[in-house]
Amino acid sequence: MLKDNLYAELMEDLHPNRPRVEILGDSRVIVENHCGIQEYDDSILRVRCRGCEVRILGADLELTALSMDELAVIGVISSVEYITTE
Amino acid sequence: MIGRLWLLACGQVRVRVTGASLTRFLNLCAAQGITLRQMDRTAWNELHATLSIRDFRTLRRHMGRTGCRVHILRKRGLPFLAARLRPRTALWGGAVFAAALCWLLGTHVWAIQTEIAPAIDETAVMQQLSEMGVHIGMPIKDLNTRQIRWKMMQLQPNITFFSLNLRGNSLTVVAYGSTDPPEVLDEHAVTKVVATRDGVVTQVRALEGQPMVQAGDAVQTGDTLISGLVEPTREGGKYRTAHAHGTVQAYTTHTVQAARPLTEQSKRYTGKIRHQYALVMGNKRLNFYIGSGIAGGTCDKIITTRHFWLSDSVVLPVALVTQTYTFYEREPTTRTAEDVRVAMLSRALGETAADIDGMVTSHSETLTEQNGAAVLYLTVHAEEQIGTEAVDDSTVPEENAEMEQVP
Repeated sequence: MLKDNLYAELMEDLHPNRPRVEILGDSRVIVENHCGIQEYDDSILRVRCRGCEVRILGADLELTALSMDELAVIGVISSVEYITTE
Repeated sequence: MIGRLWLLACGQVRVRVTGASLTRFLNLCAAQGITLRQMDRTAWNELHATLSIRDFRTLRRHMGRTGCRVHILRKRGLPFLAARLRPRTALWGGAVFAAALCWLLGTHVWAIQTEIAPAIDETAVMQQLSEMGVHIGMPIKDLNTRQIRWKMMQLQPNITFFSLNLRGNSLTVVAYGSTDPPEVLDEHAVTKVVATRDGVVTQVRALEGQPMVQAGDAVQTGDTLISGLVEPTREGGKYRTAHAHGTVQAYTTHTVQAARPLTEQSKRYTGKIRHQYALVMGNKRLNFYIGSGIAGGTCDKIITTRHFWLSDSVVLPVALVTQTYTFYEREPTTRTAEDVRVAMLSRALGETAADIDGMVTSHSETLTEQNGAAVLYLTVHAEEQIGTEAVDDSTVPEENAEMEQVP
């Protein structure tokens, strides 16, 4: 039973369609499994994901890494919003 | 850090992206798998980023779709450095030469040093090593120290320790041997002590045997000083034989004659000096002079060889040989007998004293001029030990009498 729970948790973690947002304090946000950037500015970054949109608000926002699957933003982050589009 | 070094080795390009649709540019990069690093948003329509050369080439193919302009700010990395240095053939040639030299220095033996005990014939050892293929310039991988050591111990039975120590490209041959054991004295042999030179006995110390002389006796070379035949000590007793040994001190006289010409040729250096140079690489020699190196005529020739060591274990395979010729003129010099007297006397006295097993008590000399030479007659008086052991073949007198009675 324990093994089954762990397996289920692992599959949920590694699911390719589900976005994963990692917030480190108020200075860094990492978004995995994204589908592109909608808007990029000093104070706002909108990232499109499957079935939703992640909106990061703050100041002095900077994209430090960007790849097909993940991106990283640093700056003074005031809020991270998760908006369901479906 | 390793990752950064790897990226530098592959080459990086810093670009400036300008345009209104930076998000489209970013999405295109993400879709094409182009990795952007060190992104810096300098203005609302300007972005600086670093990407690899491969990613930049990919970006160039899709530039038109972004609606942005890309301008290269800086190129960094090994590919750009190599392209800049490509026309510098001397640099590349030098690098190749240095690499080849390093390979040559590290894979061959360029110096052979020896630590061989004096009891062992060094020339024979080096000759045998040369026959086994050990020489300057040999590849290190061909050096089988165990096999060479085994063979050398077979060829030179008097070697008790042999080793080939390789340090860098310098080989040290170490060999120690056993000394010959001293001659075993047969203590049961009948011997006597005889005089090695003429003299007047001053002291007799007979540790074993019958003393035949006493203090004050004059003896000649070969006279028996201590006999191995000991007389009976009581009436009716018998002779016995012994291994005679002891010391006999005596006054002796040594005469030495030496001659030295009074007219000599001496050197007067003219001040003219000439140098010749040559390079020795392994066993090959390259002379930097024309003609032979044979010194003709009146000059001193001094040859110095200089090796070049990179460290205490790595030697360069070249050596500089310098031949220095110092020219002089011969001019005759005439001296008197008195001028050479001290030198002749000290030399003759020193040689004589070295042969004396004792002490010099006095000496007298006569110096004369004969036929253009100084002739020294030296008489040295000494007190020394003159006895030496010899086989005693004398027979017992009682046995002699019995033999005479038998018809």
